This record gives sequence, C-alpha cells and structure tokens, in this order.
Amino acid sequence: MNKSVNNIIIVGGGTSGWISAAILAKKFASIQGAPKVTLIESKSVPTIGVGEGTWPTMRNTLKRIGITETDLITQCDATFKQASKFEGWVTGDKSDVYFHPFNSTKGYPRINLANFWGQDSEIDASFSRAVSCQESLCEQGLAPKLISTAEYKDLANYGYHLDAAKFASLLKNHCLTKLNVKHIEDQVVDVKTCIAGNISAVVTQHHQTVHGDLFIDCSGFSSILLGKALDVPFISKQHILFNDSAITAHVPYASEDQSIPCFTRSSAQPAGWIWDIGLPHRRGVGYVYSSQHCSDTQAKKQLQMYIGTQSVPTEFRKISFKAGHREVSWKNNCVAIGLSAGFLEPLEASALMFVETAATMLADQFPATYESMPSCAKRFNHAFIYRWHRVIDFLKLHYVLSQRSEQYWRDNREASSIPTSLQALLEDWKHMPPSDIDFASQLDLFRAPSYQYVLYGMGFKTNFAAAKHTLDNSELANKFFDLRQQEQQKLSIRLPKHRELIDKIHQYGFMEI
Amino acid sequence: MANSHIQALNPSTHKDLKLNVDPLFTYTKTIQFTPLHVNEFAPASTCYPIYFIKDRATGKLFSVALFGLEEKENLFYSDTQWRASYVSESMQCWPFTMAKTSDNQWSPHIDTSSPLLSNDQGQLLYKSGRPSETLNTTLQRLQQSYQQKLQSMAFVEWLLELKLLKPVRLGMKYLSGEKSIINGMYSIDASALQQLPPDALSLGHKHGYLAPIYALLASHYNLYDLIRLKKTFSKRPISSLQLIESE
Ligand SMILES: Cc1cc2nc3c(=O)[nH]c(=O)nc-3n(C[C@H](O)[C@H](O)[C@H](O)COP(=O)(O)OP(=O)(O)OC[C@H]3O[C@@H](n4cnc5c(N)ncnc54)[C@H](O)[C@@H]3O)c2cc1C
Repeated sequence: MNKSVNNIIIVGGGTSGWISAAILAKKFASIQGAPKVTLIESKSVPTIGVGEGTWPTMRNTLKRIGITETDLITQCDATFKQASKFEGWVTGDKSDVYFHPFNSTKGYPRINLANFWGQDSEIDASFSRAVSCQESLCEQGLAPKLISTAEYKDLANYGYHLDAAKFASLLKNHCLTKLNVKHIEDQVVDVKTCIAGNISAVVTQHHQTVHGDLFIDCSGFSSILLGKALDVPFISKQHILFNDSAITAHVPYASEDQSIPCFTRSSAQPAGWIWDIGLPHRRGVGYVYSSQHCSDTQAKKQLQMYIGTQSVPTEFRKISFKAGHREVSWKNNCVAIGLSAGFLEPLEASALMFVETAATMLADQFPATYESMPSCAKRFNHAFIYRWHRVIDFLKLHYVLSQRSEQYWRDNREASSIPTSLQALLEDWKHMPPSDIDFASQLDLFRAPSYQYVLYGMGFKTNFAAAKHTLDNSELANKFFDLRQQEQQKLSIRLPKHRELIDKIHQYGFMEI
Repeated sequence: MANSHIQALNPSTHKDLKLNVDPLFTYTKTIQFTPLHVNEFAPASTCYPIYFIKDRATGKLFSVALFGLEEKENLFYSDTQWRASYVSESMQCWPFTMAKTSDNQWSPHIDTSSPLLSNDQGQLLYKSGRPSETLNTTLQRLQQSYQQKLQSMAFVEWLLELKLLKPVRLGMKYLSGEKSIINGMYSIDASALQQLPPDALSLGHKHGYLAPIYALLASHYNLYDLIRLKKTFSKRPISSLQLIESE
C-alpha cells in the first residue's frame, strides 16, 4: 500500500505530546505538501504534572523548535542545572557525597583522564573534582553562563529545572500560535483499526471521528493507542528497579533572595531517594520509593523529615508508576512517545531526554509512505530497545554500588536483580575504567564519563596499577588537568551567582547571538 | 550606574567644582573601547575599527570604537598627543555623561573620581548657581548625545531583528610566537546584508541605516592601523592578525 502519510494525529497534551508536535511541525513548516499535525488532549484526564529536571539536550530541542531561552526562563520559572549531587548513596554518612556533572571529563573524548586520575596518588581524591571544574562551580553557587553569553550557549554545560505545568503551556502556546498545530480538546473514547492492524481513526467523546495516517501515542501511562488498542505488551523491569511510588511537594524559600542550587540534590533514603530542585520561588521535592519496602505514610514522614520544620510544604501528591516499557514503541502506524512508551524512575531525569530523542528521530526519519513504515519502525524499535536496556543498566549502577544496610538497599544488591549485562561491565571495569569502547554505539545516551562519575563517585575500585601500560600520553593528560585548573579559576571569577543571573534574565533577557 | 562615583549633576552639591581640560584624554589610557553612536560611524570610521560589544551588566549590544587589541590597551593614547583625528562625543563630554538615576530617568551625571574635576583649579561649573557657558555647551551636547543613544539602540534592534549581526573572532600572533584570540565583538554580517529582501533594505535606507552600516564595514580596514601602532608602540608587538571564520 503506497499511501502517503499526510495526517499525523497526536493523542495526549502532556510534555511529550507538545514536544513531539513542536518538533514535527517545525520540521515540516517550510516544506510544501508536508504532513499536517493535529493534537488531541482531554481536559478530564490530567497530565502527570511532574518532570522538573531536564538534560542539556533540551537546549537544542528548544532552539530547534524556535522557543527563546529567555521565554523558557521567564515563563516556566526555569533555572539552570549543572549536575546531580548524590548524598548518602554509599554509606549514608554526612561526608558521603559525589557529583555527576554535565560537563564531560576534561579532554574527553580525546583522552580518558580516569586512567591518569587512578594512577596519581597526589591528585584530588574526588574523581569529579579532579577531572571537571563543575563540582566547584556548583558548590560556589555559580551560574553556568553570563548575561552576555548568547542564548543556549554556555561556559559550563547545563540543562534546566522548571515548572512542569508551565513548561507544557509554553510548548502548547508555541505550537498553536507559531507552528500551526491543529488542536482538538476532547477525550478519545474509541480507536478504530482496519484489517491490516493499522489505526484508521480515533473517536472522541463530543466531536468526531478523527482520521489519520500516523498516530502518536502520548497518552501517558494509560497508553491508549499502543498499549490498549494495539495490545503491545508491557515489559516490567520492577525486578531490577524497585521504585514504584513518589510523594512530591512544593517547599517555599525562607527568603526571596535565598540562593538557588544549580544542581539537583538527590539524597538516598531508607527505601529510595529524594529529589530536591530549586526554582526561583520554591523548591520541588519528591521521595521516590519502593512500596514493597515502605508504606505511603512512612514515605510522607520521611519526606517531611527531610524538609524539616523550618518551612511549610504545600501540594503534597502521591504518584504511582511501574518500571518498564512497551515491548516495542512503534507498531504498524502507531508510535508511542513519553510515558506511554515506558518509564523507569526519575533518577538522572532522563525521561524528557528520551522524548526529545524519540520525536527528533521520528521527524528526521519520517516515513513518507505506508510502504516505508515497517523499515522506519524497525529502526526506531531497535534504537529504543537498545536505549531502554542501557539506561536500565546505568540507573541500576547507582544502587548496586551502595553499601547501605537497609533491606531495600540489600535487595538492590541481590545478584538476581542485577542485569547480566551490567554484571559483565562491572567485571570489565575492575580491570580498566569505562572507555569509549564500552559505548561504541551512536545510540548510547549515557557515555563513559557518566559511568565514571558514578563509579568513582561511589568508590568503585578499578585496578589501575595493572592498567599502567595503557598510559601512553601523560603529557596530554597533564595539559588537560592544567586546563581544568585554569578553567576553574577563570570561571570562578567571571560567573555570577545563580539567582543573580536568573534575575538578570527576567530583567534583560539573553541575546540570540 | 553601579559606580558610586558617577553622580547626578546637581548645582548645590557641585557648586564648588572646577573643570580642567585634558587634550590627551588620559582617562582612556587603559580603555580598550569607547562607546560610539550611530551618527558618529562615518567620521569615526576614518580612524578606528567599529564593532559592537555587550554590556557586562545587561548583555545588551552597543557600538564602540576599538582602541586596542588586548584588554586595557589603548593604542591611540600617548603622553604627547591623541593618535587620531576624530574624537568621539563621549570622550569630548567626559567627565560628563548621561546615566540613569535611581528612578530610572536619564540625566546628566559626572564622574567625581575624574582628575579633571577639583575644587582648586580650572573653570567653575556653576556661577552663582547657574551653569557656566562651558557647562551649558556640554549639557547641550549631552542632550544631543542622548538622542543619538536612543537612535543607536533602535539601530541595534533593527540589526538584531533582521539577523544582521554576527560574532567576530580575531586571531592574533605575537612576534614571540604566542597566540591569542580576541573574543566578544560583533559585526555586521556582510553576506546576510547582501541577501536582505528589497523592502527591508529600503526601510533601512529610509531610517538612514545604510550609510552607517557601510561605514562600519569599511572601518575594519583600520585594523591595519592598529597592527601598525601595536608594532610600533606596544611592548608585545604582533606579527599578524586574522579574522577567524566562526562555525
Ligand atoms: C515521579 C516522577 C518524576 C519525574 N521526574 C522527571 C524529571 O525530573 N525529568 C524528566 O525528564 N522526566 C521526569 N518524569 C517523567 C516526566 O514526567 C514525563 O516523561 C513527562 O511529563 C511526559 O509525560 P507524558 O506527556 O508522556 O504524559 P502525561 O503528562 O501523563 O500526559 C498524558 C496526556 O494524555 C492525555 N490523555 C490521556 N488519555 C487520553 C484520552 N483518552 N483522550 C485524550 N487525551 C488523553 C492527557 O489529557 C494528557 O494530556 C518524572 C515522572 C515521574 C512519575
């Protein structure tokens, strides 16, 4: 059937729906006869309403769809995120902290500094401090750029913290006013399929039957198209990643000018971990935990203890989820993007990055005709099955290296809960630090530096002495260690405080150049 | 203005102040740029390379004449005479300048830290509470210069809107072999200008923007002069200066 793909129907108006709509509509904006994008969302089904941390990839995504960074910062109460700071993940002691900065290790991929760090007993014992200046910038409360730095450019790598609801409205507004996305506000109550198994139309409560050629399922956990209508099974990963619940809250600042951390705090708890994100006018916190190991009441208590008695939190919410993903993301003429395709847990805040990657891949390799759809689907599914697999390994890594003694943490270290692929990597890394060889695929989203930050941040031991023969270029390594040092000195002087920059952006905005 | 020594001009506070003249413009000795308004582009382009730079406090672009090739370098200053024929409005007015008062209004200010101002020498600013003739001329000049500032801001907005500005980077090689890069300057993108649609071009013409644009582009040949001055007078002479094409 050589039918061309003219109508794209997106079901769901959460962040994934609007990001997908924007990326596709923008891609097609200047092309004659390109497919039309329609988005259907239901007022009566709420969006998930969380997702306040993004990856640096969001900069490119927003630039690509034509939203200015100033609009993002001012309209979504956004701030900058340069790193995750892990507290208490190894032993739970006060001194037990490490950073996973967005800056790669200095000199990467030209040189793998981990080798040299491991050999050198004189160097800073903290891996992230030795190989990147970003931990120091974070600790000093500094922003990653200046008011005179062009929008989306940086002096230190960054993503964002933002208000999820405001972010969805900014995207929506942009799609409707600038990108010509057609909008239907109605609930999908039925899905029509044809004999070949393709979706031919969705039926909404009040309006009509909406026909389309390609359907994008952004309906959140309910996965009404891919999961329900097309019966693509859910592959649970709860035996690896135990967390299935979250209690979230907003916490006011003690004063209006309180400093805003430029990183996500992530502190380990008896049955999970708490995220802590600083926006201009409030913090967003959430305890992510395993209901097998902790009751909701206990969890709420734990979160309240974390918040302390100084501030009065508001908007407590409980969210349940299941770690896992659909067997495939693309079946016939239906692609799932966002929670409908799967979700693991918020650790390392990679869900929106998956959405960006999926929507971009779909736009860049868009099937022009029905005939080309199976091969597009095959490629897409291959990429995402691989990525789910890898991100599961990466998230699990955070748990298996812990030495905490609570049941939850001990269960997390049970060999039966650790994927064999991760076990094999851990075995390799006893002898050699993670390197590009371990992440040869273009599809890898987390690469050697990320693994190194977590491994050595958590005290993993690589037998560096035995790997001495691999050190062929210590001159270059020293150069990069020096550069790192100079960079830290220079940036510490030049960069403004995080809140100061946020205030300035509200006042003056960034330049495009 | 954040500097506390920039004060709003006031006949009672400043009634005893006397002004001296400095034909050498010593205050620019360690200044790499001076602000330039759009009406000055043509005369200034006979002496200085003209670029845009960003205000550190606000990130906003404004036009400047380039005096040196490194931070705090002014190749036009010497202790015998200013090494160029054109002197910018802002230099001629100094230590007077237009600045924002606390209620966000632009008004004449003075730099009280300027050695040109004192209580014992020079011409009194005020005579029995009324501005002296010199001060009056300067105030008029400031007023005009303020109008020019507004026009220059509109000019920059127009350039930005049409995406006619681009960052420039200059690569410099010292005789010693060392290299460095001059960053943070912006210029008019000549090829974007070439592709400007006719109606935008004619609007630019109507606003009187085309002459300054061409003056700015021509002014960059003055870099040869800066190289020469640097070779002759600087402690760190250079062998070459090159435009680095950006990504
Ligand atoms: C606790 C928690 C913390 C998280 N933290 C992060 C984080 O820090 N960083 C990050 O990147 N991600 C995070 N995520 C994930 C992130 O929230 C989601 O990836 C993101 O919000 C996208 O959600 P979505 O658009 O897929 O689904 P939703 O927001 O659930 O949107 C679903 C949409 O579908 C519509 N819909 C559903 N059914 C119908 C129907 N029948 N008819 C019409 N419309 C329908 C709804 O109206 C809604 O508009 C977190 C998730 C959780 C659970």
